[in-house]
Amino acid sequence: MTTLIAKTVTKACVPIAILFSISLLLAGHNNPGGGFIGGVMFASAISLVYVVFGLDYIMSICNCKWEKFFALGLIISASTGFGAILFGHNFLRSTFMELHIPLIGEIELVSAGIFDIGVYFVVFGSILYIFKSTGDDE
Amino acid sequence: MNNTLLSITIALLFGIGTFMILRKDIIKIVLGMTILSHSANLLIFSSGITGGKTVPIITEEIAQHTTGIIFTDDLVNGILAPIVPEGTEMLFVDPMVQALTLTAIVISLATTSFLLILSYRVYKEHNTTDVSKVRRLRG
Amino acid sequence: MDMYHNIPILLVAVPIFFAAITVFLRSRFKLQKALNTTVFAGLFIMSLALLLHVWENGIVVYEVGEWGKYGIILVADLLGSGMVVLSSFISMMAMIYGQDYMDKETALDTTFFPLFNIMVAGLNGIFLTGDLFNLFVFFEVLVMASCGLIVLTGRGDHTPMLYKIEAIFKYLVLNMFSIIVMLTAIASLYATVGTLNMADISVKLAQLSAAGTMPWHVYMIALMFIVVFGYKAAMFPLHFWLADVHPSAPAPIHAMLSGMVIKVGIYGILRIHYLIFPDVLFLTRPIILILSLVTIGVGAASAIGQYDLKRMLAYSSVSQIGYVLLGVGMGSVYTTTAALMYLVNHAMAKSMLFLATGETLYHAGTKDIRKMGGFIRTSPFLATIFLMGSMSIAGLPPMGGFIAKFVVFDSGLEAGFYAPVAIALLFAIFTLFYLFRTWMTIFWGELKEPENESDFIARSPTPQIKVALALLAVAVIFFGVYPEPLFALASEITAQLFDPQPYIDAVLGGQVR
Repeated sequence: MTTLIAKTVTKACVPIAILFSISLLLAGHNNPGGGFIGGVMFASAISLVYVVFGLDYIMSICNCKWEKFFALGLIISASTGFGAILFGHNFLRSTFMELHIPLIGEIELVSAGIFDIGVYFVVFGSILYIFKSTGDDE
Repeated sequence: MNNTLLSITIALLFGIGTFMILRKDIIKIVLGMTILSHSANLLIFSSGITGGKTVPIITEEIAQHTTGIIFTDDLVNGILAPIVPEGTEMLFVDPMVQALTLTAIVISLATTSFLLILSYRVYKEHNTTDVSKVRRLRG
Repeated sequence: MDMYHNIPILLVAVPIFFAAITVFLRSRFKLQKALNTTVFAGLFIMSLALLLHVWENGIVVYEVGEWGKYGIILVADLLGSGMVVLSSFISMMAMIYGQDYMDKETALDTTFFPLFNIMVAGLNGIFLTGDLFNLFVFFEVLVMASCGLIVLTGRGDHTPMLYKIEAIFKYLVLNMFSIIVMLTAIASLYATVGTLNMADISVKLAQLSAAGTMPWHVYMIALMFIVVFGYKAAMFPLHFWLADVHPSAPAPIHAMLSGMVIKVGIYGILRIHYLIFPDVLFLTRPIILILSLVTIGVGAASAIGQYDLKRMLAYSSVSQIGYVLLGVGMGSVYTTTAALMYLVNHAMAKSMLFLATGETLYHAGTKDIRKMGGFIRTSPFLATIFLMGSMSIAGLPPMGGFIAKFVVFDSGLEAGFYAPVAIALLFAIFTLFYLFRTWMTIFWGELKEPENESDFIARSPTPQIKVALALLAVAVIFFGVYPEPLFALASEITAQLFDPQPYIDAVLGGQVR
């Protein structure tokens, strides 16, 4: 049985952890971070919810099919590769463009970032699918 | 290179892993597999620490003031990309080994989780974790 | 030009992409069927186009992400693209067959299509990659996908789930061990030469060898690769897992495992040891030769004592892979050509035989040979296909297996290996014996349980399954009566293997970086 402390701490921590995982994902091109580490962080945040609140509670709120996220990520990543072919380059050739947005400043859009988003989905989808199916098996 | 302690650690881990996978308990086999794959990861990692100084992120500042060797093959002096002879100064560590180790870790994560689920199923079906009792397939 | 340029990556990326798509289409069975048949036919056509292109214009090199020789490269030379054609053909047939064979609720609606796609992507990746570490990654992709596929059940599959779990546990633990050996070898090689590109490693090791400073552990690395690929190919001391794992799989997967996946080991030996370690061949060839003879003997002797049909054929696979290794181990140009021809013919005939076996077991309702008999009256089609497969494996004309066996023995005699050829010939007679004994027990004689004859007729192959089996049979006969194109292709592949300079030139492009 989980205590009130664990539940309160989880409620406070999980949003921060999810936001941090997204920031890791977006930082990944030029700084330490990336899709894999972000996905693992997201998966650990969600699995904390699973551990503290229990599988049945989560299932009653939403019955998430994590393997669909896995497939979605795979499609995103593969499409990034095919996109490069459409532009006449080799598969997975990376490119970038710089945008100037008022009030925010220069931001760099990298096509490898889209690939990283796909990796993020694949990683948390597969890890959470493993957790859920092992927890389910009774 | 020249890191005796790391080499001894890797050798010890290989030994422990090999010992563990020769046990009869399924869980010990899975743990032994994990230790073995991590020692292989450490082995890859150990091939990359060749006296570089910083992380291999080349900013403009560094690119303008290069003094050491970045990563080039120099076959005349016997330099094969990250492997350099004694005394040569390298600017960066080899970035490749980290990518390789990360890939190997991800793969061993997948196989280990699969193995754990399988051993759980074997335990559920046979009510034992003793490998010598799990042999329906003989013949 | 531009179209052909992209084919190597499409052969790997398209199955992965469609593996993801098929997860979303799980409940729509009709759509899945049409989509996957189209994708696999497309892959086969693409691989054929690639082979023809490589045959006419030389090696195609594809740099993924345009990183030059430091990135991942895919190289389609004749060996690689030829193997891809073979694997696409067999996987297309297995896919067409599997759509009717597998259970709808537990296999087709869940994981069969995604995992099969990923398995094919892994196979194509192994055959096309030019990067040593990438080879390891694709090995792992292939193994994980095939582990997931072994669990599934089909209608002629009488293996309880308990046995399957045990088989997969064995397969995965041993495979993980061989993968760790491979990883250690790759790490040591990387620490020695500082690159993972196979052509680049080949150049640098040749330089070290010419300078006389070849480190001694390169020999150890070459032997470690023999262990890894010997495990994959079920070479003698590492063959024991095959008879447990392969019969546990449902028939289409069994056909893929025995037809293509164990050939991966042969491909690895040919690729790694001829390209990277040509200086170590003096050491590896005798090892492969001796072990191949033991493999032939052990496989054939074990197959004779089996009453479980699938298990007997699995031991037969062990024996037959020994003949391919024999051709590789004898080591002259002609014997290696013969080994490649044997590989192709065995892949075709064995996968046909396994697909027919799956239907036969469904027809019989049991997997014990002693409880079957007289099925030629209830299913003449299966009897014909099974007979053709047996004839090809045993090496009788006019099937492809006859030409293959003949070429292996002829080349062995020409190279002066009289004793190995004599041993192999002796065990070829064993093969003839156990296959025809099995065929006669199953299909000739009195019909067992004749009062249930209508049951047997109700359990007969569907048209789709017949199409897959018939196409494979046509291929087997075609290579038996008209083997010249195969022989020309195999000789050209062998010429490329023995002189890797075109491969190196194509990959490195004469550039000094």
